[in-house]
Amino acid sequence: MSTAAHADHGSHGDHHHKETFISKYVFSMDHKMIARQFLITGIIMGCIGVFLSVLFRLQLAWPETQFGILKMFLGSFAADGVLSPEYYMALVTIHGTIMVFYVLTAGLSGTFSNLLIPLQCGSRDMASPFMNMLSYWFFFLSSVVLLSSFFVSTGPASAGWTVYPPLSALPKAVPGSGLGMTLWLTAIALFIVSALLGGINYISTVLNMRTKGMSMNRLPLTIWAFLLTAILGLLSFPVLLGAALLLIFDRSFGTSFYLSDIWLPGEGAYANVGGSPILYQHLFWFLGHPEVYIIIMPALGITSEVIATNARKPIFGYTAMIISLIGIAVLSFLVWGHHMFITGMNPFLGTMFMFITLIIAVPSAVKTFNYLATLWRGNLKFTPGMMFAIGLVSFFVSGGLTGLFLANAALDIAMHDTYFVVAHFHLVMGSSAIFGMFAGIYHWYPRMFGRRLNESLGHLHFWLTFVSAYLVFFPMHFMGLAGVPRRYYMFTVIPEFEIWADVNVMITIAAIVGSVAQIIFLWNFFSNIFRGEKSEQNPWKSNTLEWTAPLEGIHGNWPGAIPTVYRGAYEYSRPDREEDYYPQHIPGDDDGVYHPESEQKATIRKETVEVSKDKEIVYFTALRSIFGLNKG
Amino acid sequence: MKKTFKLLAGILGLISLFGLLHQTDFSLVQLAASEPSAAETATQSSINWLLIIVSILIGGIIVLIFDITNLTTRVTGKNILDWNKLNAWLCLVFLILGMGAAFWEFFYHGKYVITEKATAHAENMNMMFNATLFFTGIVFVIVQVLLFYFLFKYRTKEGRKATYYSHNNKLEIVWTAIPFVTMAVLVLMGMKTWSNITKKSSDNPKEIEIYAYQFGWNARYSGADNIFGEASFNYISGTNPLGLPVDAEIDALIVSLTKELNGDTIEVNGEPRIIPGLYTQVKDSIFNLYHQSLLEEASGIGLTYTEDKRNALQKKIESIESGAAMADLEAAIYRKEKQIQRIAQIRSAPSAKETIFNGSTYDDVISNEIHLVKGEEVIFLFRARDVIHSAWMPHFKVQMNVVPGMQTRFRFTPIKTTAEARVERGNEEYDYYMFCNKVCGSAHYNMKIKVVVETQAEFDEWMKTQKPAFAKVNENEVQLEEVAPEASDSAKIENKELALK
Ligand code: HEM
Ligand SMILES: [Cu+2]
Ligand SMILES: [Cu+2]
Repeated sequence: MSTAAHADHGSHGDHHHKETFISKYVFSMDHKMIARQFLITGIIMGCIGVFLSVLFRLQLAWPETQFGILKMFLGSFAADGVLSPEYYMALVTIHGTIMVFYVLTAGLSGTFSNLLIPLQCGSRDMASPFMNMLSYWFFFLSSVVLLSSFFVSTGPASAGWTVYPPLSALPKAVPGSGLGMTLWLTAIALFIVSALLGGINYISTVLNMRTKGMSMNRLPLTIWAFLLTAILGLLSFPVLLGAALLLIFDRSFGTSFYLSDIWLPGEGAYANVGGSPILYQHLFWFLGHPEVYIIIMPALGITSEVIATNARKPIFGYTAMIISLIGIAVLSFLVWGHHMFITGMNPFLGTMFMFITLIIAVPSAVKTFNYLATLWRGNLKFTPGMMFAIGLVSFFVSGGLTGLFLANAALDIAMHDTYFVVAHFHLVMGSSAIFGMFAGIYHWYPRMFGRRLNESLGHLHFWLTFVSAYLVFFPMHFMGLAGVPRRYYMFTVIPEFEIWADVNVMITIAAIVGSVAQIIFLWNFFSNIFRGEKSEQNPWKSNTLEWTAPLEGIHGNWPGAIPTVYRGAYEYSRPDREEDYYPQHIPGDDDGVYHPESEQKATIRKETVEVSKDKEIVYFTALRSIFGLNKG
Repeated sequence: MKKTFKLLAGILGLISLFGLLHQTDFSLVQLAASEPSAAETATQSSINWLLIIVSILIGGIIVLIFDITNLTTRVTGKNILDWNKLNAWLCLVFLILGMGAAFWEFFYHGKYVITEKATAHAENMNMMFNATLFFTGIVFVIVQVLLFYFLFKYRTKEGRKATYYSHNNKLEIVWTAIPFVTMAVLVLMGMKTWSNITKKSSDNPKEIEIYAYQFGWNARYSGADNIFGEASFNYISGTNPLGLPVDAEIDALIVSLTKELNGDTIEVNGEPRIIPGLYTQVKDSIFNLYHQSLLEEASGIGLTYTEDKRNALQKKIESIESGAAMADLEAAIYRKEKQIQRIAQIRSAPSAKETIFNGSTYDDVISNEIHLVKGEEVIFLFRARDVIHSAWMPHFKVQMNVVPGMQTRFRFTPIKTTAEARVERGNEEYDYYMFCNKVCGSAHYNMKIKVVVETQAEFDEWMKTQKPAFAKVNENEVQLEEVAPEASDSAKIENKELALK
């Protein structure tokens, strides 16, 4: 990275002590460096997660076949090259944990919140750069602790990524619930600390450190998404921490929060009485459901930005997009019970959860329609970032619609924990958020590394990944509807499921192709950090502020004063402009909103938005009164 | 061009690396069935490596080609590959092929989707499913078609400018309202279906207890008296696996628990031999344990002494040294004392004799198959022994979690016999099963129990072949045994005091 020479050119007048390698690349407090750290750690974790999925897919496709590769990597856990059932579940568990928390929470939201919040809001850095640094290092530590559980003789946690007790509390019930589970819980506790440190920072930066003129109604949708994500995280992660702590107590100190009436061979009746395993599930899903929105909302924010930029059109219905995001955020706290329809909870509760869950589909639908309307009559530029953003929309629709089946308590009786669920969440959360992440990486790579990625390889990467993801997950719907349960080590012992043997083989091959295609990305990503073509300042001709700061990434972001903002982020292809974009920081002679009825240019520049007849402005004013005036 | 050379060199390097690895006898895939000879393995492995090398070569060449196109674009400023055009066409192709594939899949694998009406509520659920499928299917097709069509249609072209169109409140209200109304319809239908399935039945359905444990199921029928009685995990023993309140069994359990705590004397070759109880083991302190395990293992040392044994011994010593062994002992003592206490407490309740230990469970039938009567409403009462399981009968659209410490239930009416299902499938061997659908440990994937639906006559016939779980003992015996727990209780306290000293 060629930023060293420029590092201390930041002229915002602070004290500038000399930067060492350690303070610049390791314990950096610069948000851009921390973003890169999050991203690269996330990519490494992602590779591990994908690799694990290939290992257990081998087992599902060819259950009786010996694989040298399994023996090589797993040793005694795959004696003779065949995965043991316990270790199959351990792989699935760690795969899920890595993907959900480490890649799509920290890797996605950590990377892009860090990179974009200061740059798009127009601030020198995060509210607390030190906390920001801590946030990364807690995340790093947490990753190390999680991965270290692979070296435990009883294997990693193996009760599924949801680690339901009693299974996760009883080392005698499954070996993975011994030391492996302790490490899992420790890792998650560290992870939560990281998420909270980051979240507080994101919220305070967005609310307090926007540049002059950057009112809430001019914020790019990315920032809105990151803000709401951080709020969700801040409100829900502590609950998971509580759940994890109680589980730690039950495991190590003999309490009975989740345990009751347990008898195991060799152990006899346990002393625990009075606890409820279902309590854990309530606590877990109180985080767990918002968590899926913590994953998808940043991806949606990135998509809004990438699609608008590359369609050269304003994002359609900016206000509606924000209201949908807020609606999703609020409702996401009230739907956790849809994961528990068949735990024996009161049917009336089931009714309420079904009702709210189905309602949450409305804001999601609005977002999809708005994306379509944004594409309509655009001037679409197919950059790799754009292709991945479109991939997200496609997955979001395919996966979101199947949610309407699962949200229905009655239908869920016949679908819960089947492969239908695996298909649903891999499309709507897994694939679509991963595609959002890729869209962000391709779009902001020049911003992060000052260089460009190879475009052709990007498109190749997109098509291979896109097609193989559909091939992997689409057929799983039908397996689920035919009753095939998830988290099964093999299907050959049940004659009824044998018809799926060839489908399982096809899925595994597609998964391997999709995984190998990621090597193209890795090559593209890592080699171009050093040898890529230098990027121009604003490669996508984008409106937002991050492209006004020098790409080599100086400390404090802007060499001089921070630019002032004069309009919203999505003024593309304005009829009154020659160029098809109108960056936020270019002084304009209007109030920042295009009025088609008055084609001629207005002469007064206004700082605040006045209430006009335009309904949109009314929303804006409402939003402003909720979130306060921008203090600049 | 320098960079291209570097790339080429890199790929060549990789290939030679794999070539080197090729020398080692490492094969990626070996078939378990046909144990190949050494020569076969060698050829197989070279084929494998050949495949790997060829695919890497092909991959490398593709990457190279793309890299070169990029380089030439950079040098000449002209696009060889116009990705805008290419992607637009690919989108169109993907739309057509993708939709085609989705529909093919829908009809090809769609026929495996369970639509069978094996229970009364299946009809209702199928309707609900179809309604949801109808709405979502329409949206799926419309949105995906529009998405990819727009991509094709509005791709960038020379001189084209996008339409500035930032919002349209009317439009947005419309497409908020339409999903809202659709959702309202689905919610209302869903509520109706849900309450149909979950509502309390007016007449008394037949109760069957479904008992889940790692890794199997049992069904318990209440026998002639129609009373289940209060089973509990406290009473579980080898001879009473479901923990039924059977006095004789519980007494025996307490005796054996007390022996585990206090130790026992057995006769070996006509000589008495003391088996140390948990209390003694704790009192004997670490050194004795250490010594004892060494002695135990030492007797095995000799020709049979293997690496594995050495490791096991090592582990044992480690657990003693780290205090884990001691902690385990103490936990075991605590567990067993508590269990004895709890049983005593339950038994000492004033009405325990009438309500729990009234012998009503003696005639219960415990079975390894679930037998149901066609057309007869039944309610499953679920009980778990260890961890959460889930009772999953896909063809009946029945699923309910089985949670330790909490009774769950599911009510339904089977309406198709196994015989009818066999005829329908043309498969004489076909059987319905209940599977476990909540991950519960290593053999989760193989935890199942046969479900037989039959006519009332067949059911009665089957029931006749079943033995009651416990023979009724006569009053005297019960009376006699009741003294036992108290005795062992006091013995326990005595021993504890001893242990403390
Ligand atoms: C290479 C791509 C991937 C493949 C082939 C794959 C495959 C699978 C399969 C087959 C399962 C179910 C295993 C079972 O139930 O026995 C699974 C579980 C799971 N996957 Fe993936 N997956 C991939 C990527 C992802 C991504 C991107 C996410 C991010 C959300 C993800 C999250 C999960 C989760 C949360 C589970 C559930 C784990 C559990 O049951 O505890 N996966 N994956
Ligand atoms: Cu949820
Ligand atoms: Cu199970």
